[in-house]
Amino acid sequence: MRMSKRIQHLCACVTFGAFAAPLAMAQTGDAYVLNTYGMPGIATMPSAAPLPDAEFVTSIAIDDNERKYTLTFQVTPRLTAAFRYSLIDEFRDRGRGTADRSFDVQYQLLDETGMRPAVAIGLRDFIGTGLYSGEYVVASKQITPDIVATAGIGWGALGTRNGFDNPLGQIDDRFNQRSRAQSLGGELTTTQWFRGEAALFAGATWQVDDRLALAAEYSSDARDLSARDNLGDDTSGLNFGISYAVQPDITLGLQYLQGDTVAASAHFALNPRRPAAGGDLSSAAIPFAPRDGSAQRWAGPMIQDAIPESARTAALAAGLAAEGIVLQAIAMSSDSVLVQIRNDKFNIQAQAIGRTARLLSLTMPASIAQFDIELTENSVPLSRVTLQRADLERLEYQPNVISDSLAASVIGPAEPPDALVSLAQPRLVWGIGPYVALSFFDPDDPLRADLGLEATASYFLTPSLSVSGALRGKIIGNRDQSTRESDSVLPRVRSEQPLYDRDGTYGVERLTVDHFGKIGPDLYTRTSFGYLETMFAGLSGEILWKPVESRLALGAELNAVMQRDTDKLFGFDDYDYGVTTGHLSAYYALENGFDFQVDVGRYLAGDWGTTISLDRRFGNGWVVGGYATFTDVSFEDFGEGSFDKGIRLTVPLSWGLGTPTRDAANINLQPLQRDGGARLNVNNRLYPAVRDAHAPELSDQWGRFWR
Amino acid sequence: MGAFLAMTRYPFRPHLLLTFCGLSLALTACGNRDTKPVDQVVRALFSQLTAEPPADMDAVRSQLTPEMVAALPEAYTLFNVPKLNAGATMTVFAVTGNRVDWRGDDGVSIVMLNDIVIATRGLGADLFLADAAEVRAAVADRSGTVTRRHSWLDGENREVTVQYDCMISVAGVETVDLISRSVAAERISETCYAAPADMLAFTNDYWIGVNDGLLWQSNQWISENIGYVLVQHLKR
Repeated sequence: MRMSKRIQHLCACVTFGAFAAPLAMAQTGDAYVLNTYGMPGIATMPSAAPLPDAEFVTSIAIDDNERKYTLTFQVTPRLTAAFRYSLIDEFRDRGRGTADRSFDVQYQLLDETGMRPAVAIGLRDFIGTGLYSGEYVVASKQITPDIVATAGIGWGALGTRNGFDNPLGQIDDRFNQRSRAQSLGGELTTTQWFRGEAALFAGATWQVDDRLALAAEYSSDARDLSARDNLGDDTSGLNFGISYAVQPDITLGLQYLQGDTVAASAHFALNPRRPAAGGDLSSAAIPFAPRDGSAQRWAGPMIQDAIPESARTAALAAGLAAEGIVLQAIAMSSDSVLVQIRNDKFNIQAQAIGRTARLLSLTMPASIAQFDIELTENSVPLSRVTLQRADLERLEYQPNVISDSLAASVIGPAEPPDALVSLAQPRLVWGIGPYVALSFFDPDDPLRADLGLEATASYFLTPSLSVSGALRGKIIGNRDQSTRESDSVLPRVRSEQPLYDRDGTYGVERLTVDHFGKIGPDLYTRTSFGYLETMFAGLSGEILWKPVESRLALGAELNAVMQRDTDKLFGFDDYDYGVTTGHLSAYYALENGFDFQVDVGRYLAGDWGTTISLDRRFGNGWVVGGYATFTDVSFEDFGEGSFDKGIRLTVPLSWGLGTPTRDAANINLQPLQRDGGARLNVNNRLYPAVRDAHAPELSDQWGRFWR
Repeated sequence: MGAFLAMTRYPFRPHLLLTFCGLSLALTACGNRDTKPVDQVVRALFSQLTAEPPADMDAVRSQLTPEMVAALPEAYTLFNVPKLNAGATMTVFAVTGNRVDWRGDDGVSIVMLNDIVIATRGLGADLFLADAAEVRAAVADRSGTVTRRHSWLDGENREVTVQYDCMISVAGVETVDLISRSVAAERISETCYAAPADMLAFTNDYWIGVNDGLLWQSNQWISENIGYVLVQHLKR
């Protein structure tokens, strides 16, 4: 029984790891060694060198009592962060196991230069119950091109072997005592950091060749999680490791720990900066058609001036449709043309603009000197790019084409003219497809999944007013088998998700009437009414202020909602719970690619508070971020975890497939989903769509205009 | 006109797509509940599984008989990318001055200025742009040094430009097989080194007809992922 369960866990997590295995062809550059905690290190101890910037690694480490699954991200060139989920079979002689979530950070204080080693400071398991809690300062030096030597001093768990009086005690007495804090988890364990006894650790790694690496260390960690007491100083403290890169991005390892334990590990690396597909596989665009007649060869009669305007519009619409772009409206004057387009295909908006400009050069008469292209989303124009036709003809395939053409273009607010002619659009859009729904971190089964069919449809009453719905039917899965019962003392706005999984085998995911609008030069609105998400229905309104060239955006959202029945149908009887919830939000796109967001307001359980989010956004659509929410719910009432926090990822499918698509996979990894700090999951929030079509994003990715 | 042969842009790599499939499935569910990602990946996987085997140079050439090539009404070029195990025949799509945009029927474009490749599209890790204006003249002179500036879009769509210093040298006279005929051609080599030492050096070769001075064949560097493209002008 126990064995089969073990294998089951192993399988679940090996698959989870394999999911993250990349297809990257491009080499990573420098090889690195990860320890069993998934952090830069030796066997179990840390080392000081960071990973390559933006490296994203999924690690699995298994020994006879413990399985650790770690996601590690190189947040900035110096800052490494990790989130870990651990399952421990026998915990402190209690006759049962435990599951634990932990976070690590490591910051590189000094680069390695000449004689100076790299130096880093780190916190292991610094939030929460602190099974692994330890702090360290570590130095690493490349002795030969292949050998890195490391030595450091550790506290907490890393100060349990041959510990000595804390040298920091010289500064302040308080460093001498490390209390065992009682915590529900989630709280920063600042009162323990760098306190209590300290101990030394050391080791070395030898990169034998591109694939093989050996490691040996003297560990300062003498804990034994299965026992009530630590191992004591009678064990050797010597650990050895061997790792082998079966592919550039997949490394398997074996560790021999404390002279009596064998551990196995696997690391799956990817890097958002290295697209798995190698690059953009979209078909070449047509060339710009010059007005000197030389395009006659391939453009045929299209470039002749005698073509009537209606035929030009039809040709343009057909050409755009072939590119996955919808021509929504057009206005022609004597020397310029304005088009409103909806990009359904390219995950980089600049590419859609480039394709549109080429088709305009093919279909517009020679008298048209200026192209104005407005990007729309939900029929709301978001920005306008003004291009001079002569510039495009002159610059194509010329040196510095990207910077020169960007300088010659104007990215400004959308200002649709009165003469705009709208083109008829299909009123009904629908689709049926498979879906997969996962849930993580149930201690009984850390990975659960459902597979089923989803039908979606939207009917447009006007271009900006629609009725949309999504129905789901589960075919197979085990999400309904969770037996976790909510112990929440708050309104159970999220913690009874398992009941929804159990009762809602078939159900209405959402069914809403939505309206989008623009009520001022930089003011966008969204109104949604109906079954907004699987657990709540009601009215949701949002307004966003975002000038085209601004890095700052401000938003407000107000929702009046009632909790839906667990069968995901139309009733509201199970809970009889209604709440008014909403937030004021500020968004700022930092120059270095990080997005900062603060939301202040009232959450679903009626609690008031703040969410702080930080996302690293990559120029290909990848997002890796984290958030934390603090509300007036006490840590005690919140329960395990103390406050809501999570990690979120967006992986654009074009990154993996190479073919252009705006689809992206989103993941929200919450260590614990409880009721405090919970927000409504409303569809089509304004900021992401508006941001994509605005200046910082468009100009950063302008190279795609020419692809 | 002879049959076009689709250029297979990437070799069959099922394990890569499978892992990405897994990644996407895993990620799909937790977030926006959009079904399309699953769809997309499944379709891409299926199309890879059912794709015809890559057309390598030999396969492409074996479908072209000397009679077919001789009867072609217009300029016709054979492109081969050994690293992708891909080959295709292409015709002239657009001409702007001395710049020719060659295309087959599969969305790949190779742009040449005086027969020097200055851009590719649709191959993935494309050469975004090469500023190689001096190269053709130096090849005609059979000696000298030239500079090239190559740019790519990196994984985050930012332009990366590398300058190469290149030396032109004569490698000797060889026979070039153009299917319908053979041409005696002098092979001119262009060896290029980048200022940043971590960029790969490369050597382009150009085969210039001994009798007519025309460039009949060339082997030109595109990018690290794509390697070289071998260009044979079957009919000029």
